[in-house]
Amino acid sequence: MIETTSAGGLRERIAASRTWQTLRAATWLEWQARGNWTNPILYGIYLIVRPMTTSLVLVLMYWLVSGAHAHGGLFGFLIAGAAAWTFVDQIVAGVPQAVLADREEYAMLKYVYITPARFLVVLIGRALPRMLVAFISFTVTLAFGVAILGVPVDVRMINYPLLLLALVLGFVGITALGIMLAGLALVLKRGAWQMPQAVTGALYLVSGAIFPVAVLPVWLRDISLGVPLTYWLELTRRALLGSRIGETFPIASTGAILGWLALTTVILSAVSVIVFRICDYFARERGQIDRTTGY
Amino acid sequence: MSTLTPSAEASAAPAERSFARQGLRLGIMTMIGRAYPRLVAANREPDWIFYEVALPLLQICAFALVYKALGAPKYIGIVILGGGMMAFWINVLWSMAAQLHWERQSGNLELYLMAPASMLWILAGMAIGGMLATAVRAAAVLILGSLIFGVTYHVVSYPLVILAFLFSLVALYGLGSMLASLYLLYNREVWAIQEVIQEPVALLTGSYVPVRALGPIVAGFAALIPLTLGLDAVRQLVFPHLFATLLSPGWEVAILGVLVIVFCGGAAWSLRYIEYRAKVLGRLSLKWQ
Amino acid sequence: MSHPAERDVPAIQTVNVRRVYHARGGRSIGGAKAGKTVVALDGVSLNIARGEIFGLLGRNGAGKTTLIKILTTLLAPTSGQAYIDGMDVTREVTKVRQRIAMVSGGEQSGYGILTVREQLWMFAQFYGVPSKIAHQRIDELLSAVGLGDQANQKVYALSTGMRQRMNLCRALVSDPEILFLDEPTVGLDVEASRSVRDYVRQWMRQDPRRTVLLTTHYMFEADELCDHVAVINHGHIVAEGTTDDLKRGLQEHARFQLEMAEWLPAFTEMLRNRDGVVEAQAEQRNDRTQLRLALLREEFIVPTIASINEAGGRVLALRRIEPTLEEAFVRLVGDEAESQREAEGAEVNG
Repeated sequence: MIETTSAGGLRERIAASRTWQTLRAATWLEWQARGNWTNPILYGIYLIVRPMTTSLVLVLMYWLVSGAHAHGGLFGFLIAGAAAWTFVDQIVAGVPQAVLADREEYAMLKYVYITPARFLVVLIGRALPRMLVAFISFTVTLAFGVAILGVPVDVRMINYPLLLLALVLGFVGITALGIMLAGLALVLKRGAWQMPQAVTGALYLVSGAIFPVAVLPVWLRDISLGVPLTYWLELTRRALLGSRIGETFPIASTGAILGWLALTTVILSAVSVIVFRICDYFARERGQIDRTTGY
Repeated sequence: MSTLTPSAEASAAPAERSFARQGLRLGIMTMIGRAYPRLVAANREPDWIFYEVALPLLQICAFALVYKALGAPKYIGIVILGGGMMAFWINVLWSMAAQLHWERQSGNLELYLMAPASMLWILAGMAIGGMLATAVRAAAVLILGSLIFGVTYHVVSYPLVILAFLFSLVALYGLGSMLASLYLLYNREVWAIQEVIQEPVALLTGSYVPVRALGPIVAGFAALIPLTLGLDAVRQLVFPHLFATLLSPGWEVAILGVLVIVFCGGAAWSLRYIEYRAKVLGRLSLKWQ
Repeated sequence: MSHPAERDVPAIQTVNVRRVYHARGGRSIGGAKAGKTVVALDGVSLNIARGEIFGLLGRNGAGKTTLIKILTTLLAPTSGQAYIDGMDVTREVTKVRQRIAMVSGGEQSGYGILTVREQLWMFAQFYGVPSKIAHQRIDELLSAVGLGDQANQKVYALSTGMRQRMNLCRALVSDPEILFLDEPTVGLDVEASRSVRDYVRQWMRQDPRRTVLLTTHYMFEADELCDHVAVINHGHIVAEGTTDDLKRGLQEHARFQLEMAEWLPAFTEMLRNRDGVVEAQAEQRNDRTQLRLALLREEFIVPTIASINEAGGRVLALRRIEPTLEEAFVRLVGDEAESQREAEGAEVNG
């Protein structure tokens, strides 16, 4: 027989610890999903192959133009950007896809949704293992760039506090973006699966992931200044490469860029939560929480 | 076993021919039927313009801007052309190679195996539908990219360009059909394999840099992927003397002809193997969730 | 903590709930074709008392699942109010969710990547159940539904029946007070269906505060499980009451079947002339006679039998003939469809 454990004080204890438990369970679920996605060797290859391939393409492009195996200032800029972009790929594109998979493949979204757990907390939990995975990928790609391709990163000269700060702020902004897109994915009927890729593709262009935003047309450059990823990439590069790389904001101080990153991250986070809530409202209003699109 | 009398043989011959004609007719109808969703249904909703033209264009623009940042805008045409051809690779990867896997997941594969026409006709329908639909998308990417960055083309030989393009497409879709059958041996790994190979193939086939930049040995291996030689040949023929090439366009077209035979033959063989596994061993119905 | 008004309010209450689906631009939503509007629920009012198993019966598209979605906070009503334990499902979402759980049938839901135990533990976490208690409950639940040996098996390897039993455990692991079962036995074999029904009954017996709202197409299931039922058709509640009420509502007269040892043709004439007897039909079966009687009221049976005895007849067995719930259901939704057609016809003609 089942013990009736719900009465009295248990519900209060339950409510108090629910947020932590939700975060832990959602993180664990995503970790299981990542780990079970395929066999570990294939997964390991997947983790490093994408950023490394992009890095290699950029290296080849660089060498094609320079005509020799030269390592100028822009070389490190390209590789650091390609390595850091893994965070965006993993989280901004990955979290909405996790939500869609829950709805369309596992048919479990509605059951998670009707639990008292806060759905935002579930999504943050789903982002955390992806953050770890992205960090591994980032580190391996950079190590490959430094050891094999000759990217000018001196491990002793890295500004670690700045790098940590940039990564933490970057994680907040990137997760906020992932949450916003997860909300949008719930209400889109067609194209929900492709939409996160479309957004990351657009961000790839405007945030100067693999080229300085100075080469963009003026109107796109203005957009790039409103995107926290632009400042995050710049700070990450400065932390890794030192002041030798300043093509995006050559005259801005690191402190100023940090300030802009913090400000745009706060704004983005607030906008993301609002957009998510609106999407959540519409998804519920239209009955899309448990509806499979079949696309 | 009974022996046919001469008169019976005489009467059977037209019947066989008639059956063959019916078989051919059925095959073509099957092919058209399977191509239909890709040619017509997939274009019903206009959002494909955004997801299949605008989205690839964003990535192409990003790589084109790298050349601009490096002070070498003359190479932007290489990226635009590579991006256009990449549309076919993406289509082959996700809508050919993985297609039978998706069909199995949705329960359609059994229906295909039960259908009277050979599965080869179904694969051919998928390939032709995918090829034509992607051609529209690739053309849009090419035209828009060229207009945005002001790329100009100087075609050396139209027949060779057309031949290189067609051979590389047929061989590429042959490769896709072959993979489609072989992927049925895997379940959850399919998605992972696709993700793993998508970008390296883009690198190896020289989508953003001429394949010669990989060095002769790597480029030689990369030439086994039909897109590599097709792209290199077309680039040579529309951007003459811009970069170091792998082989002359004539040789590249000839090798592509061989690849057509190899991959189309491979597709037929792998399909027979898969049908054997399905019907004799009963090993193709597990659905992963 | 229990809601203060728990004893005074119904476990589930809906007041004039209406739900309309609008389809726009070439898309179909909730059965509504492009440019059309479908009224899935049209003023549904229900009161379901605590401790009941309440059945909601209706044809496909009648509005059952829409109502469950609204009550489980998955869908917002277009108008009207819905309450769980007196709490508004649109405004007090978290409080409502603390009390409910749901199992839907006819779908292959579940994280195939997890084991059965892991899946249940994860849901317990979402409800804030401490791991120790969660594991204890998981063991008890799995063993109660006969899945004890499958605890460490991956979900993808479970059969449909096993998966549905696991889903029932998933719903119960948070110890909900109100359980929504949306066609829970669809697609299950006889044994698995029975196992689900048996366990629901057992679960209800354990705590009088528990309530179940069940939707089903299987009338015998509703008959077997439900204390009260409502029939919904085209978004309207067309009948409500106990299953016996519904069946009786179908019967104009009290019907009985009698087994007689011997029969004389004069009996039939005698019965037809008696007060209260509407119809009497005799049929010879082997060495016995089967007499079917329709009486104006139930109480006429005693004097009728007495008169048969007085006339020399011998009654061996007596049975009241009840219509089945299925007959009652078909009559109800058929009548409703008929009157709707008439109304539509009148509208067109008018």
